[in-house]
Amino acid sequence: MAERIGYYPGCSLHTSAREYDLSSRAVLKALGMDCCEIPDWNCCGASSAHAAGHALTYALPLRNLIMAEGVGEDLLVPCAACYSLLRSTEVFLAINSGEARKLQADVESVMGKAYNQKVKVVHPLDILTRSRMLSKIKDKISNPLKGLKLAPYYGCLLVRPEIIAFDNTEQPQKMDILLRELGAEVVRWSYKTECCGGGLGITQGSAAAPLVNRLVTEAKKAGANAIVTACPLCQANLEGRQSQEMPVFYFTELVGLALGLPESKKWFASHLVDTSEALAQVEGGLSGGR
Amino acid sequence: MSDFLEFLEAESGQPISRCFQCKKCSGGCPVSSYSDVKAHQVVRMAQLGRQDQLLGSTKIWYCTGCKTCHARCPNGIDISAILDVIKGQILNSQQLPAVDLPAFHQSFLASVKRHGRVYELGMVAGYKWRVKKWTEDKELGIRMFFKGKLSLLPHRISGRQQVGKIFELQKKGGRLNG
Repeated sequence: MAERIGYYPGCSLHTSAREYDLSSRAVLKALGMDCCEIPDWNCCGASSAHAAGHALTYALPLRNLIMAEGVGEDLLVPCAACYSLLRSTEVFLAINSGEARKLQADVESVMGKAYNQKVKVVHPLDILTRSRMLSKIKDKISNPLKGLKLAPYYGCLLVRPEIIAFDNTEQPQKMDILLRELGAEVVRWSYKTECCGGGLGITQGSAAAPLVNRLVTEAKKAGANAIVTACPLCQANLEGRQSQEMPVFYFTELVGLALGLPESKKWFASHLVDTSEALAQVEGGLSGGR
Repeated sequence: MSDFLEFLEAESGQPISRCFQCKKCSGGCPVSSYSDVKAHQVVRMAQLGRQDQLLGSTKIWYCTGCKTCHARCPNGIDISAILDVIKGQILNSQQLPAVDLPAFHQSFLASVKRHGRVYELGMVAGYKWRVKKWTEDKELGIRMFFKGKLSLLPHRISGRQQVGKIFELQKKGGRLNG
């Protein structure tokens, strides 16, 4: 029977990063997990709320944690920015400072609902790299990603701030482990956790572009055919602002491809950079072919 | 200790006084080359109580909040958290500096307050209206639209009132009551 897990998509996954939403749900379903979207979730405020003040920074995510309680024990959050903020809020409340207690009481009174701090915020990479899950993936791979050379790009918010304790802040490994399991070659490069300037994407495109192009150039130098990310802002910024032609995949899309899920073709069609050349060697393995 | 330093330390929760200017923060900062006030200088100015210089800088808004400085600081200082306090003061005072980034934050938060979620198209339009830069990135927007990456209508949540009250909490009980 499928295992139920709470799911928080966040705003981007319903609009500009739809392929991340669809591929996350499809991959987890194929691996026996049922993503239950939490009811009436709100924007967690990542990008801007931190600039408006401390209370808002944690209060917006907290409303979601309260809505998530009872849906499932784990709350799955694919967007790196939402993950970082929801997880920081979980840790902030667990530390149980006077400020945290006051905030929790305030938000509880707005919601008319108590919060028992039972929700555990997790990232799909946490789940997919558990040993039981890795062996399940191994068994189900029908289309190994042989010949694909990938640059795993963690960016900022998947690994920082340190308190979220996702992985090492300078040399994270979870995505590397997963991509290798899929049969791909993971290149070594020094830019795994360098910022792409996504936060400047809308307002200061000319400042973001050099940061983007440096990452793409370095990935190419390392021998990669594509970059792999877990962040909608990084994905849009890296594909939208590069002056080269390197596709940027969500890791979930590649898991779907390796598992031979036919719907993965639709995800790749929504990329701003053409993915067909990078995937030419492996896409033939999909049922129906190209 | 200056009042400004005391205020910043209390509001940001950062041990600003501990900084001994090793400059690892500026070495790893992705926007160092764009900034007139680099990361280590933000901390030094805070230590010296140079409020006007920090509040008046247009370049502190370039901080992307990547938190590389925090991850590498031997004293555990999160410089983006210090800048958030300063930005919060400026946003609350409504005396915005001549730079587009505050307008982005205003548009983003207005969208969340109104719909409960970010309505990307409306948020970007609100931002463009505020800064009067209609044609910038027009082509990228069109490409995204044709790839189905922009939804035309907002997704509104039914708990909008609750979200509104959460915004009120910031005004009333928030530490940055400006």
